[in-house]
Amino acid sequence: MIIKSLKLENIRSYKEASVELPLGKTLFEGDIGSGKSTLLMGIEFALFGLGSETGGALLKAGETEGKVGLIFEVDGSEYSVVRRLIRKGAKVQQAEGTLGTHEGVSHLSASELKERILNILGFNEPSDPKSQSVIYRYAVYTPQEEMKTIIFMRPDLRLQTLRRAFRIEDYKTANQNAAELSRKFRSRASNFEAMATDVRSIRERILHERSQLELEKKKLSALRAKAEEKEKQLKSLNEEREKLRSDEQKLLTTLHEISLLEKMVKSSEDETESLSGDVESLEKRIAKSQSQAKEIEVVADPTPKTAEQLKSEVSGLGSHAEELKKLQARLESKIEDYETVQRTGSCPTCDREADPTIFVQKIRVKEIEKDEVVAKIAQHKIDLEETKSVLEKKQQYEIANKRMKELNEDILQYNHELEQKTKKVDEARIRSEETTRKLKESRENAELLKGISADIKRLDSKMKVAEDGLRVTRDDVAVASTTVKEIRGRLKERGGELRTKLDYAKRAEMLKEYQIWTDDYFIPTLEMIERHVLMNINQEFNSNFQDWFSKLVDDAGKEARVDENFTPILEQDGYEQEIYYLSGGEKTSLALAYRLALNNVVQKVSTGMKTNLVIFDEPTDGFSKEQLGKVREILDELQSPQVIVVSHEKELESFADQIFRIVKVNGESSVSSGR
Amino acid sequence: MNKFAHMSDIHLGAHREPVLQQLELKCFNMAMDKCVELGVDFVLISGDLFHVGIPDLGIVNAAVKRMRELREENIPIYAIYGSHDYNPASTSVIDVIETAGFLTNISKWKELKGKVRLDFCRDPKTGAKLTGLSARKIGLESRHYANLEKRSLEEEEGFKVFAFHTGITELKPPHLSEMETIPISYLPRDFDYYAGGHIHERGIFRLPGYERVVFPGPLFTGYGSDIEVTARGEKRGFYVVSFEDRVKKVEFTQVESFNGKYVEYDATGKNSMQAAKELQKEIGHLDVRGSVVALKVRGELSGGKTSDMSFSGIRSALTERGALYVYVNRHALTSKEYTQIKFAGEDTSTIEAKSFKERIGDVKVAQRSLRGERGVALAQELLKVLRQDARVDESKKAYLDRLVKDSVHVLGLKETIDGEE
Repeated sequence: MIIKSLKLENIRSYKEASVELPLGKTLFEGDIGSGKSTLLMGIEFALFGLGSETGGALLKAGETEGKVGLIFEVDGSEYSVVRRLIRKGAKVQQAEGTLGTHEGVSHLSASELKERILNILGFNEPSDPKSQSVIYRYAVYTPQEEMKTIIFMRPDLRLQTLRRAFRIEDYKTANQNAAELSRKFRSRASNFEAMATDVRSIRERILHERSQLELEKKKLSALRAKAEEKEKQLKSLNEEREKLRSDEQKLLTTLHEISLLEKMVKSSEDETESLSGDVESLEKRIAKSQSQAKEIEVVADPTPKTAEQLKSEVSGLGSHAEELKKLQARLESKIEDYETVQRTGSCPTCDREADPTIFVQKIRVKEIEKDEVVAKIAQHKIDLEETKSVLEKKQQYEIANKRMKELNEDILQYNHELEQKTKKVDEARIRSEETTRKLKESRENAELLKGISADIKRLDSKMKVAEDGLRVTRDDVAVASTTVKEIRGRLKERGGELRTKLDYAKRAEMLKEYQIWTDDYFIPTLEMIERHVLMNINQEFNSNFQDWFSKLVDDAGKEARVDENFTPILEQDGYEQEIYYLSGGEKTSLALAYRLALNNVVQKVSTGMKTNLVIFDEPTDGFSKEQLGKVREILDELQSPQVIVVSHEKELESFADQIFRIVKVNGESSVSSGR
Repeated sequence: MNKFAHMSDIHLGAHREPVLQQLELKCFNMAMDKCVELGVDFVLISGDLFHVGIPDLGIVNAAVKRMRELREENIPIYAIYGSHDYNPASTSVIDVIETAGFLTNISKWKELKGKVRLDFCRDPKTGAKLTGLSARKIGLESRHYANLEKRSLEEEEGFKVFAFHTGITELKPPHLSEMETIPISYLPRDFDYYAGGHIHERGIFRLPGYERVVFPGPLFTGYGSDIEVTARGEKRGFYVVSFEDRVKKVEFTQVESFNGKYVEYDATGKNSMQAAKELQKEIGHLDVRGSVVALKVRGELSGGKTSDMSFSGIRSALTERGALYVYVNRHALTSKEYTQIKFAGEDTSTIEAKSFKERIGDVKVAQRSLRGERGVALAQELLKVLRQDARVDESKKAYLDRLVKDSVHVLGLKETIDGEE
């Protein structure tokens, strides 16, 4: 962490102050009480809030609102934090603050701010807003009044504080929590053990049930074999019975057949008789038709022409005569017209004048034509009468011929039917013979199956006995099977019970092992770790402490060290000097050496911590000039990119890269750059 | 017969503990009283009258008051400055006292052409000629002596005393082998008396050319080790030198300001509890009333911390039984448990991993997941869960429930542990 700037408004003796902090060694120099430490308080407040401090101690008297703004850099990223104090009645409280990062500005509560800042700085410690950051207090900044406090603290309290700062307290916490965990394991294990009792008696019961099961299974299997045997018997009886039933069915069928066959024989006889009648009737019809045909045979054909040809000739003659009559009429009309013209001398049609002489010739020609036509009409009348007579004779011949054909067809038909009937008569006879044979056979069969019903009855009673026996056996099987099932059910239940109990036992066993592991391995190892870590830190601390002290106190006879509890011991020639009675400079040297050692060690154990900034608040109280000179060496040796020193000692000016002078005028502090 | 008192290493203001401050002052006063009583002509202090340049002004005030009384008795005090009470770069209280006329600095030197020239200071009453060199910082001192113009000093006639505040190589006790010293030849020869300081061990030595080289040792105690020596029976005080033109007699005068009791206890092989108990027994029968007790505990504890042996408790118990003050030396007390650092220089997570790994073989469980590397991994995961603190506003029950639940999850025991209660 590098602090870039600090801004105070209404904080303690400051109305308003703003400081840009450079890298290197910065000295805030001013008289005692001028307000130097307030700047450091401001930095701590901006970062971690009030902690155990009260708001009233920070807010300028008489003001209602104050704030501290801090800009700092961690790992190349810049952060700006602003915290505010507000007076409400008699109380001064922290109001909402802001945290600016490269992602923007967030408005956060006091405790949220602290949590975020601890996170940014990589301080692994609780974010309780009511306490100071222990890491900051020991690794970065220790207020002047607390520098010596730690030296004079009661050893147990100091150790407790340091254990927290060194994160040794973690092991005690872990140890106590592990003991709690172990208790939990023990209590759960004994619960499970209690639930896992009776395993032996359950096992015995299971064994007993198992032997019972074996017995019952044997019994069941014997009963099943018996039942099977009986089923077999019954099956064979049943098969026998089925056979008898089928024979019985056969008998019934045969009897039915007999009755049918008897009917068939009768029907065949009837059919034969009926067919014989038909044959006779047909023979009669044939004879009648043959006689009728003989009568018709005498009618002759008058012409080879067909009736149709004759009809057409009649029609043709008729229509020709009509046409001749029409021609005759037209000729007569023409002649009449000609005669009119002859008489009038003009055309009746067009009224033109005509020569009557011309019409005389014309009338003569027409008269000749008329006579020819009248002769033709008379000839046609004679031809027509003759053709009509031939046609009549032809028609009579055709009727006779048709009848002859019909008779011949009838005869042919009758003969065919006769042939059929005769055949059927033969077939009926054969069938009748066959049926009769079958009937005989069936009757013989029926005779054979006569005693079957009695057989069936006998078998039925036998089967009933067998079925009753089987039923009893089956009942026995069912009983035995139920018993087996019940035993199996009980065994399953017991098995389940045993498994559950064994599971409990297993869990108890497992938890006991975890408890043993926790008690005998984890906790003692924690104690060992705690001791080793503490020893390591103690050694490192001691070497740091001795080193810093010897740098500050140039007296070979004097040696400072810490004991195992980090109690500082100052020895002269081996004899302890009570630190209460040390000189001011010695006390400061001891405290500063202690603080520097703490700084080194806390920085080292706070892994992930992102600050090597060091702030000193009046680190040279009581120092001689010579010692003041040594502070320079020490500051150089820290190799911290930013060191802030607050001091009233003007001697320190010579080795500061940047000096700020703090003055207080009329109760108000102000900061000005001195170099 | 003339007499002077030679004392050194008074270290006034060395102690801030009120009891020791009182004793320290009492001792100084007793010494001054003795000087008056014995009728010495003057007092010579060979450095370190005060423990620091500017000590507690209450002490200074009391001391100056006594020095004024001595002056009123016409017993002047001559002194050189010691390594503790003087800084050439700044004004010390001793300079103020000299200015006020209660003390005369006899180390008046000038540096001329690289040579250090010293003048004599003549005591008007006895005619004794006094000179000497005040202490310089380590490194500077030997150069200073090396450049000392000795001949003029050696050629001076009369009764001569040379005061110095440094160790002499030839006389250096073995336990101070590390100390920076100068060879005796750096001092001018043939003085009647060489009044030494700085070395906290009493002794009168004779070296060729240097008849009487005398170290009175601390008057009281500057350090715990002085107390130890006192408590072991060493007498503290100063020398009274009788002289005319030559030294006639050098007599030690004891200044017994307190009873000392020395207890040494070796805790080797005992654990912290056993050792504390035994030590209690050891000191239980001691009559410590009015005594300054020096307690030295050493050895390697077989177990526990050295801090388990509550020395503040022992100290207050002895104080309650009347001890004036209890000095504790436990510098050589160590604990086996804490000296054998198994994972020196390792970081915390490595220590965790290694410790879990180291002990996994000891655990006798059948569960495979709890053994070997799996067991180690499980332990590390479990530690992550169990080391968490309660959240802000989280009740104790909610916290424990959460941790147990998370632990059960990490350990894969959810199915095992769940079930009807």
